[in-house]
Amino acid sequence: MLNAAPKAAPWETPRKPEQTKGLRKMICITAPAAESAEEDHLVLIRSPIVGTFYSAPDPESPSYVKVGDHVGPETTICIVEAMKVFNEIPAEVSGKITAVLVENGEPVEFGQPLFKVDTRQ
Amino acid sequence: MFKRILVANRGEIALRVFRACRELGIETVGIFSEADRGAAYLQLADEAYCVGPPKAADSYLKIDRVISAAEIGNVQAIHPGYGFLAENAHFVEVCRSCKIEFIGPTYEAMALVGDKNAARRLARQTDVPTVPGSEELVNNEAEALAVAHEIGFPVLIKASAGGGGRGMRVALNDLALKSALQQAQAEAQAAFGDSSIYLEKYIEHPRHVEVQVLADLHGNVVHLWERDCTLQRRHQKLIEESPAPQLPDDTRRAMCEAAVRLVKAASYTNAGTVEFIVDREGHFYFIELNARIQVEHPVTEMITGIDLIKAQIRIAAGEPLCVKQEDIRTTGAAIECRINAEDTEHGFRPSPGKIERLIVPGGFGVRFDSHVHSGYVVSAHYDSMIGKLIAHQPTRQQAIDCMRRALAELRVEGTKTTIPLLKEILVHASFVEGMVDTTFIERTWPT
Repeated sequence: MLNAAPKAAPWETPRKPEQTKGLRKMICITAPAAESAEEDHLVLIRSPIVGTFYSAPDPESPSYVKVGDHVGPETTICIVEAMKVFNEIPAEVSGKITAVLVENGEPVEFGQPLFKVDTRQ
Repeated sequence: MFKRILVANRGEIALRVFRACRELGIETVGIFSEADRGAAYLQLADEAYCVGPPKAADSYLKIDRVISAAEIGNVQAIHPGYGFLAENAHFVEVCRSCKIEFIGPTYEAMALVGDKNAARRLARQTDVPTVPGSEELVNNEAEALAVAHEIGFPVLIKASAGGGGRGMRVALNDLALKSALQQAQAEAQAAFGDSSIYLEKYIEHPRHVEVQVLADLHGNVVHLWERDCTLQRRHQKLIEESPAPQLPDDTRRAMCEAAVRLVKAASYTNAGTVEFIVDREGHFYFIELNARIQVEHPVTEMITGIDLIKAQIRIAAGEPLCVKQEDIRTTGAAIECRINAEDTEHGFRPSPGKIERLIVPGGFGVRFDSHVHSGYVVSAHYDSMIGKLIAHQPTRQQAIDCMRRALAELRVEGTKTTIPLLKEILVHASFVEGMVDTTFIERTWPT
């Protein structure tokens, strides 16, 4: 997101995702995390849409993934909510989560890096 | 008044809206594709969100992403600019259902005027002259031939769902009409998803004169006089000016009043442009109503002194028009040249690339609306217009002199532009005398 931190944060309180027909599987975008060849195995999982990032299915549940977890292509790693539709985002890669790059309830744009994954593991 | 607006567009029109909002104390949210990431004009917005990869269909045209950006950006309204989603009635509906104001006409008005045949019907009902043609859609060859014989060849086959110069074919006789009909229907189906067509008499050597209107949400409608946009190449405007040269005053008045009548009848609100064609005898005929702010709006702003983008925002916020028709005076003459990154020596093909150096003209009466700067990379993904150069002076001749001077100062190095061609047009006798028609460019500079 350009111009970084907004003055007010109307999304400060994470809203409870409505458990409606709104869950949708999305196609994700992955890209190399770094320039150098030694770090080719580190990829970024980027948001395929614009919306609000949620790390868990609902505020009472644990996060879908945390640092250290192994994921496969079908693993749901987060929700990005857009226009009241809660889109489940699949990892699209196999590996270990090495970093979570956004916070629960944060707005994300198209292409914004969400997670870093080590595909060697 | 809105606290925050999202601008669902890019380039010079996005910058234009950011500027108006800044002056009104309204915060802005911009959107951009990956091709526009880092563009300098986005710095003027308070926030900006990436909405997709370079292709417009995957970014600027993605309604869900635009709306999502509006939601996370916490805006009350969206300004669509021109092109992209500006005349997308479905987008207007989505905004409405998401409780976001759309800065433009209502869904109903947009849908009505977007149906070109229905707009023609409304014109006939409100005593606005229309080009002789089929009263309704033409459904088959027999009907087409009957209409053509009644109004006389040559005829123009037009797509009802088309507009902006697209979906039209000329037929000079029966045989040509039969084949053109099939082609036109197929093209219309492919381009607009609707093969409906109607026929009009083809006006030869026409001039294109359009009227700017503003209508608020309280029933007030005014016109801001006319613009002459005759200088076109393949239906793309190159130069626009106001007042229209060689237009008798009573014709001007009648056209502007007709435009207001039509807008009222259509319950059309916000900014709009009523397009007319003027034949060699000086008769004017309604063509279509464009439900958006237009590229050439600065020409009207210069001669009336009215900021049209601010007017759009105020109308959408529910304010009544702050001018009455009798208050709208014009001063002088204004000319606008569209500066396109195109190679005029190779069929006007787009000339993307990095602008190594840009020198912008200035001085009394010169305005340059552009998002580009030295170092800006002109993308291949969007239209090739990189700026609009406007000259405003007390008389048309002085405006021409000023434009010639400004074009000589303007330097765009690194890509090919239409500047050399514009210079040639500005010294051409036909242009100076105001004796051009819509075929002038293609006849004089054939490719």
